Amino acid sequence: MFLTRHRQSPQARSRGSRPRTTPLGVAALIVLSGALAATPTIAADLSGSSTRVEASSTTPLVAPAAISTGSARLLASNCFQCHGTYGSGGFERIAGESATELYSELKEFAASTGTDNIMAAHAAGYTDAQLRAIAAYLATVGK
Amino acid sequence: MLRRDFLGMVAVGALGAVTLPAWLHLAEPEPAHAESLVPVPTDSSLKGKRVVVVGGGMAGTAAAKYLRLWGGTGLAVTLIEQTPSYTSNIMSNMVLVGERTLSSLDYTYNTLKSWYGVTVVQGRVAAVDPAARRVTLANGSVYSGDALVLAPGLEFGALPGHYDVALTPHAWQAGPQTAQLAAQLAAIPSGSDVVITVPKAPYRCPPGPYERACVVADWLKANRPSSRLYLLDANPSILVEQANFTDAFAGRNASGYTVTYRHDVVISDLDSTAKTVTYTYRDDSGASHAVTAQRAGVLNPIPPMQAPAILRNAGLCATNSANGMQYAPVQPLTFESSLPTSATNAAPKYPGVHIIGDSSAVPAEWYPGYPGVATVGIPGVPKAGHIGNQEGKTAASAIVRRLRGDTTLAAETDLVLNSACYTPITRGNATSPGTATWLSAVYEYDAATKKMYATQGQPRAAASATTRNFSEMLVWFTTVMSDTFA
Ligand SMILES: Cc1cc2nc3c(=O)[nH]c(=O)nc-3n(C[C@H](O)[C@H](O)[C@H](O)COP(=O)(O)OP(=O)(O)OC[C@H]3O[C@@H](n4cnc5c(N)ncnc54)[C@H](O)[C@@H]3O)c2cc1C
Repeated sequence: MFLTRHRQSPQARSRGSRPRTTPLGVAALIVLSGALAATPTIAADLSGSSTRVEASSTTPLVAPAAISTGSARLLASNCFQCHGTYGSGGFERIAGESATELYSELKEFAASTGTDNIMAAHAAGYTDAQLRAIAAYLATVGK
Repeated sequence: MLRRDFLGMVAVGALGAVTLPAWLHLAEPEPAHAESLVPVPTDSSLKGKRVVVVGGGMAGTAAAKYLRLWGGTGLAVTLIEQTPSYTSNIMSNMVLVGERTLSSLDYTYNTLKSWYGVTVVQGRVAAVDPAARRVTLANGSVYSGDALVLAPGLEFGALPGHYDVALTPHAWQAGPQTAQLAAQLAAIPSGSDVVITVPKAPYRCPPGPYERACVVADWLKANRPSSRLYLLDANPSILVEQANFTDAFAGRNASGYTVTYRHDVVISDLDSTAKTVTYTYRDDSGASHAVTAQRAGVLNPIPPMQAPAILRNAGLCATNSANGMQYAPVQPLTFESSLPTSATNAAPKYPGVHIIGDSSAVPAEWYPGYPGVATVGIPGVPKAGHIGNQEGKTAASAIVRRLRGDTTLAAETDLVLNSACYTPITRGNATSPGTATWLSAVYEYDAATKKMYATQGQPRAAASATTRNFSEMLVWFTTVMSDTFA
């Protein structure tokens, strides 16, 4: 009758810091992600010297026709309020990332129930199949 | 995947630091750069089809934009909006306490027109004919479409006694009333109190009244230290984020303000001229107390609210048993009116008529077994802007698929709606952040019951009010507004 959800218990893992945090070269990579963004994002410069990293001339995001209908597009559009239309920026650009990477990030968030993190709260609300569909869809945006 | 790591690092660094990273100063609404927006795909397959959207708020504007993005250049989309530009309710409490200007909450329809090719008509819809999918404007002009999307938000009702909104603005629809209430607060005599009243749920933005109480009490603490804030809630308890608001009201917040919170409030007379309220309330032991003509320096009644008359008069609404107000029942997969043809015919009476945003009533429940389901919280999809935007996308997707003759649509049941609210707990701005919390809920469609369910463990709230949440709030606000208007 009701939704059947088979959720894994939170993985026994310390989440004091995120595993893929990259302390080196963050400034450069932030600048890079700003330059890639197709809509204006709240881009940043770690040095604090320049006030804004402008999105330069970029290829606008266009979703591929092949999967432009169906539930995956609509599911993924839940991300756009925080990550920009088609995942183009906001908190972080997610468009065009590899599906594997996106999926594993989402799973990590979904499993981190104890953390005080809004993305963990969001990810935990989706089934595994939905997270896979979202990752697969976002991976193809702009490709 | 670096932004999130970056946010985390900055937050850790900012805790002990006096100066803030430069990017925190940037989280203000930015004009969109047209050349970098997503283009409407050149696709004439829906040529000759037209969708009419009524109301250019959070839900209707998102619907119009995504109808074009997903329907392509062939689909004609007309948005009818009564005001020349939109004033965001979200963040409007910060205008009341002088942390933002009203004009910083102003959003135009320029990008919608020039980039997305939506025809924007400025006018007020006076009547809706759902059977003909036709609307008539106050000036007599008529628009009809292959689908009608109705997103006119809410209409505000009255309160018992001598209530006059012109004297005691609710400011629950941001705009002139927000400026009026801000001016009243700025002029409040030292030592006189602020009284805010909260209507029975469902109302717009579940954490909103508690948020307003927090930031105004914070302002009073700094500017009128001998004044108190009373929050008179018609509901039996704080409805959302109980832990965070209970903490804040009790003085466990960054500035040490307190709020006198009263629940189960029944108002018998609200006098806008005398600025008094006569009411009963229950204390935590359940005992009832009567208060006669409590006097306020600033009285801010938030009245009950329901779908506007254009929807009620069209026969699209039903009465909500919890608060006696009317909203338009919809079926969640498409947001089409769910009113049946007749008592014996369950087929939709008004196919192709979609109601989104605060006007609609989405059938919803908490996930079974959610702790406190019976006692706490509002069953149902909240009336809020973040999820209203998603309702716009949901209707847009369904309309485009139907107009394209997508035969897989009928079998589609994989729908999720996400809600997110950030709540300032202490005042602040982009340069000097205050503290904030957040509230998130994910709802999933259940095909068996045809309802949305808050999924397991939802809703979830921030553990506490932090400056990091405050800074994230500004990024979120900028982004949700740009996903809607740019
Ligand atoms: C103080 C406050 C804080 C809030 N904070 C949050 C938050 O943190 N997160 C969140 O998600 N939500 C928040 N909200 C709620 C959010 O603002 C609303 O839920 C949202 O705006 C609803 O969107 P809507 O499109 O249904 O209505 P609206 O945004 O009100 O838009 C309706 C539009 O329809 C137009 N209209 C109405 N009638 C007609 C007519 N007859 N003809 C033509 N046009 C018409 C109106 O002019 C208006 O532009 C907050 C609200 C308040 C008051």
